Amino acid sequence: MQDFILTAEILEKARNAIEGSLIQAGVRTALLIDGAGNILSNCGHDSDEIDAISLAALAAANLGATSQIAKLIGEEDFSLLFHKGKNGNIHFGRIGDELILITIFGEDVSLGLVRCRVTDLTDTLLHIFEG
Amino acid sequence: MALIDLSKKEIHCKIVYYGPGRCGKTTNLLTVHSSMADNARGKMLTIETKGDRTLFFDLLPLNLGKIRGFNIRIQLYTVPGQVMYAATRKLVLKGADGLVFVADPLQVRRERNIESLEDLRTNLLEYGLKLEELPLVIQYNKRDLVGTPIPTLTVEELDADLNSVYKAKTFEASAVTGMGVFETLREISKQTVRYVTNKHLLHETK
Amino acid sequence: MNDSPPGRDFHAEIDDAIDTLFAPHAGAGPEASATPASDKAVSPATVAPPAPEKVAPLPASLLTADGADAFSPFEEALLSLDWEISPDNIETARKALKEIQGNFEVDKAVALTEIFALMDRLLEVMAIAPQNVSTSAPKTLQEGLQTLRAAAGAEDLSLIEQTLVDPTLSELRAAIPNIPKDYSKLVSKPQGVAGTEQKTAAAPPAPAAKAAPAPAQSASMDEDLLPELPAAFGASGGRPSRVLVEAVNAHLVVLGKCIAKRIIPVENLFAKTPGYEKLHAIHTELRERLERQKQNLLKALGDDYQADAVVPAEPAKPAVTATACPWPTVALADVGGRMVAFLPEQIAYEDKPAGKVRKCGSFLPIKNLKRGFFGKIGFVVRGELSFLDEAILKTLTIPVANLSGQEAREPKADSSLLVVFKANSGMAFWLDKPTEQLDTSNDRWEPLTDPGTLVAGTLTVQGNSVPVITMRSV
Repeated sequence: MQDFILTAEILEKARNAIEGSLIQAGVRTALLIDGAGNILSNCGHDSDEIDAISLAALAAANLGATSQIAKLIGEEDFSLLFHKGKNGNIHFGRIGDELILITIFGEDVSLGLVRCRVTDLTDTLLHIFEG
Repeated sequence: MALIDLSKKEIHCKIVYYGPGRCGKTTNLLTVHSSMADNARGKMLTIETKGDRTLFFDLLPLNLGKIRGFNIRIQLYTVPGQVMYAATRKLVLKGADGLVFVADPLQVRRERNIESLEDLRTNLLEYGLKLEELPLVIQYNKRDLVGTPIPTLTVEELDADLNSVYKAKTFEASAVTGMGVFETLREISKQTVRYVTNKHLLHETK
Repeated sequence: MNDSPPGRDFHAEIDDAIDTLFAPHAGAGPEASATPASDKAVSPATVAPPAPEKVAPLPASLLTADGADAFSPFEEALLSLDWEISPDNIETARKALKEIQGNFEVDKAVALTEIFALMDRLLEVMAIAPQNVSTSAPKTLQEGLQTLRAAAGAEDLSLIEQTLVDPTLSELRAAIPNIPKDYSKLVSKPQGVAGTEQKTAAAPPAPAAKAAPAPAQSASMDEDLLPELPAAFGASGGRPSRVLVEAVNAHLVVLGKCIAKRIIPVENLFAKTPGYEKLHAIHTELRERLERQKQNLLKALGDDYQADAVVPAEPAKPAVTATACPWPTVALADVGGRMVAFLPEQIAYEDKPAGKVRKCGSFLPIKNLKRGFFGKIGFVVRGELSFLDEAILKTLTIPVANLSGQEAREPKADSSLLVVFKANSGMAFWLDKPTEQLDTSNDRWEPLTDPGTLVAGTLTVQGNSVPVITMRSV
């Protein structure tokens, strides 16, 4: 496994991409983490109010667990991982093999359009991290 | 996989407490959590499950403070010890920078210790990591049982079983009373931070 | 883990920090206080309170009012869209919306034209450029639906105009991103052929759009342009542009003339002719709708209305048609050994169909094209045909062209089938090979004006005279 060495430039680019796409579209918080639960980028309006460290660790474990569940039913992985709450929703998306993008948004934002944007953003972020 | 964030000058190290089921990994973390000042510790995250087993993992983030402008953060994880949670255990090991192997001194758990250490070695290999190259500390837990009617292993027996190959530093401990918990943590933290910074930072801090 | 000289001090400092911090039962270590841990717990109380519900209250009586059933397919389609923006989901929603529009009383449908058109446009934009649409677009459509529901039950639309209709209109307008339609292409085509193919091609390569060109083609021009007008006025913030005002004034003059000189005489003629009552009613409705549109435009123009507006001369048709083909691209194909061309926007189906279709002889039931027992015909056809009801599609049968004039025979096993359709008339052709797009800009075009034939004119392609086949309304 490779170590991540993040330069300020890469992080800034990633943050700009996330801000420009998701936060501008009304998403509350977007967290970019790695598979081990490290936080690479934390963007959004109430990003300070969320216990991001716990969220990242649980999200990484959650994705690991669901991908095991997927294998148990003969799937490679699930393409949609989403939890719906009363006022808040959370969507998890894989960025390549190593990274995870967590998106937290309210009732007024459509999951379908968040998914579209996350799909677009995935390519951009992969491009940024793979140079 | 240590995360070094040069933009925020942060170093994150991940230390995983490994060992057979019910050897006291979570108790180690709880003791650390309850003894430390609020400003240095984060929120202890445990996933509530029925019974006292760890199903997923426990996480305790710690903050070492600023050293040479670098904010050093350590995250302590435990793995579920029970054999059947192999997948989660492997997942938590992902990106570990340092390891504490917690051994159970009960006579009846002797085989479990050896199996668990072997399991650790193979799981790391699957991530391309070698146990002998990673920071490792072995903790012989539950020393408070010595002298009670419960049959326990001696330190020599434990050394022969678990430490003949790796020659790691060992600590006797009693996680419930707090004995040896911080000695273990101190040693593994030093080794781990040094390991991470040696790998990535030496040229930055000249 | 050996200390290299440059790291020694650094490591010593780290060791010190660790010793201080992890002294058993340590109090607050001084180093640790350098940066307070940011991972403090969040109490649930600090989580933002739920936003107040904004949906207009709907009296229970309206829920069971006429047309309530017609709303549920659209409601379901919106739910699907909320989960996934896919061409299929958008298509279903647009069809359901059209269905609702069809079920409204004529008066109300006319008054609500703009809402319908904007909702449809929003769906269309979602297909073309989902990344540009506001993420609350499905929610906005929901609100549009609530308004329509209220309107269906309302005795008098003017009562809800201010409270519901107007706010919904402005929300819809705000949700539609400014994706300019390529008006220049329309202007360059004097015969009014919709540049639908070009419009699709020019759209940004969104994943949804490339999978389904169909949604972008659907809106016919007359429906499409009307809703753009108020949006255009609104967009400029205040005064509409001079060009627009002149164009609308000219349009009003033409509209007035058409009503007075074309529609009213025919309406009167039908009124006097026994057996033509139905046609008379249709004409009356048509006239009334046009007059209402005229009133709308007059209202929108306000002081800018000029009763004596100068109507610009019609573009000189012969000058254009004599040299350039009115369609920038045509689909070139071989039918029975002859090279012919079709209009891309009229192609409703092109594929190699199942064996039983090949035995259809001179008439092709459209329902034979569907795939699988549970498949829908609407899914395999595109263009105008795809907007017809499944029930209607099931009953449609179209003639199979026989250009050679010989006895109809079974087509070759590998030939593909082409169906062209426009304004209720269609025809099927067996092709020797699949169609190819041809750019007509360099080919000589000679129009044919005989309305009795399907040939709109001939193109000269590499020395061969190629008839361009077009369906005309009967």
